[in-house]
Amino acid sequence: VKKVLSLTLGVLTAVGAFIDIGDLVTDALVGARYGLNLAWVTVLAVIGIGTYAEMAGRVAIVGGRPVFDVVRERLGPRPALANLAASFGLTFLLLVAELCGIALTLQLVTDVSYLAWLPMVVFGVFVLVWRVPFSGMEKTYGVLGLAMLVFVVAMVALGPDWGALLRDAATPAPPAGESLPIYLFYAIALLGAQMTPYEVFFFSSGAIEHGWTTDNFTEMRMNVLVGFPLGGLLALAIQVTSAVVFQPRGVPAESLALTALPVAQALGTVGFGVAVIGFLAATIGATIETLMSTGYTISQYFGWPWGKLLPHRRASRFSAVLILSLLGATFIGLTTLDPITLTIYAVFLGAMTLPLTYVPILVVANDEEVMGEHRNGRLANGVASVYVVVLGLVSVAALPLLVLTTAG
Amino acid sequence: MRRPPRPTPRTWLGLLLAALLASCVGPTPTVGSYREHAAGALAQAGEVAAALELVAENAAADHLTTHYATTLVREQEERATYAREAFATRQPPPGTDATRERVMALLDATVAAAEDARILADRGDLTRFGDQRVAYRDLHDRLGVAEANLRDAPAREGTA
Repeated sequence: VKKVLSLTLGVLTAVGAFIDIGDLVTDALVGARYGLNLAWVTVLAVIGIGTYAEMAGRVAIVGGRPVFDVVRERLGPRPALANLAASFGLTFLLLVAELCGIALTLQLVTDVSYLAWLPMVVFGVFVLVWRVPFSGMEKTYGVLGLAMLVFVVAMVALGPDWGALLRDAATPAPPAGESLPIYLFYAIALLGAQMTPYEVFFFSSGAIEHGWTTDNFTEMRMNVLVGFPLGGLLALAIQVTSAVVFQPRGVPAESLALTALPVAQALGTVGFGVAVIGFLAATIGATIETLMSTGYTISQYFGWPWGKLLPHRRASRFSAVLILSLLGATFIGLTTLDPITLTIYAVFLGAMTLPLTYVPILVVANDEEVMGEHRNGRLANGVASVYVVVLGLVSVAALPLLVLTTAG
Repeated sequence: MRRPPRPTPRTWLGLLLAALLASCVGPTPTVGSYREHAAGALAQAGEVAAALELVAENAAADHLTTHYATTLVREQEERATYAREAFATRQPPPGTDATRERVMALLDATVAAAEDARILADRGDLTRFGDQRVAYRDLHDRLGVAEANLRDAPAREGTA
């Protein structure tokens, strides 16, 4: 049991970051529109995020340094400041979206507007982050997040035409009647949703919060090997259920409420209840991760004491960033800005900043002085280099596609 | 070689005013572009009708709680209202009044269907809501035919 529970950081990272509000919405949206035509993006994202999270975890364990510390050293203070602004801005937008995601989930079971729920949600998150120990949060949401497996059960219960789905998945091109720019827009949005930088900020900072040493390499790698593929499996299950229920009818799955409908159709109200627990675990987990990541990035850049394990008085500036981020996110959330539209913009714009986070990790993971015998091998470098090219292309193409397609 | 004269502040001000004016004054809609918007509004309404049918089927099969059904229907009501308002505020070019009238009638019918669905769901009367699924399918079909007519025969007036 202890060994299984030791995987909860990976499960929390997978369910709370890989499957966050951005992914829940984007998966359902692309599933309803393209079936499994964009499944290749999820496979690409799982391999990419797994490769870089392992590297970031290794750098954190060997060098004792989290991602943003590394970014600052490798880019230099000024470029790293621009990177900090981009990463913080993106993570902050996602924090707004995740908070609204919790409130929207509560709306599903109460029919009380998410705006009424939002202040209570924020208070709950504040108490959670302030009072509950790191390992307690991780284990609770890691385990509850497994409720998202209801999408896998629903996928099987809906009895999809596996042959047609596999043909879709094996055809990475827009279906007839769909334009290439819009297809690419959704591909980038999906990649941005599934490779968000805060996943590695949280994972590497979490490794340090855990006090992992080189003795924990296996545990860290198991977290990566279990967590991210699990996230990918859940993402594909959401795409399939959405494809089966919405695509034939031409219904665009543009909301969290519609994302859950295939589960209700397949498994009734009990399945819907389990999906709601999964949504809550995923969005609360992601809220914790994005909130902590706002504090991690700023504190690590400026060299302030940081971490949930430190007393609040010692990490006062870290704690202040968390509180201000939470208040700012609440304010924006209450402006009635559509949280789903905000989410789609955030994940898409996030895709543009991906190289700024991942390239410095690759550089340090190859630094013999820092990493010694634990520096990257050929396989890790080969895979990571391919992603540098892919993420570079995504970064360049994102803005023109956003304009050309008027955001899909 | 003489350097070209530098733009004066007055030139910059003129350019700024021209840009502001250009952003305020959109292109005058043509009959073709108006029909395109009308078809787009009908397509959105068609998606709403399809979603209502799907939700009603699930309500009839007892797959939904009252609160969940109400949330789903309320979202569709908002989408239908948005589609109608977006089209209603568009200035129709001369010669498209008949198109506007027919499209608005269909959009109104979609909003009314979504409002009725919300009232039934909110009252917890999911059985009666479920019974409406055939009506939603019928509405979806009518919207689909009207949209196809607009797209297929853009040169003719009054085909919606």
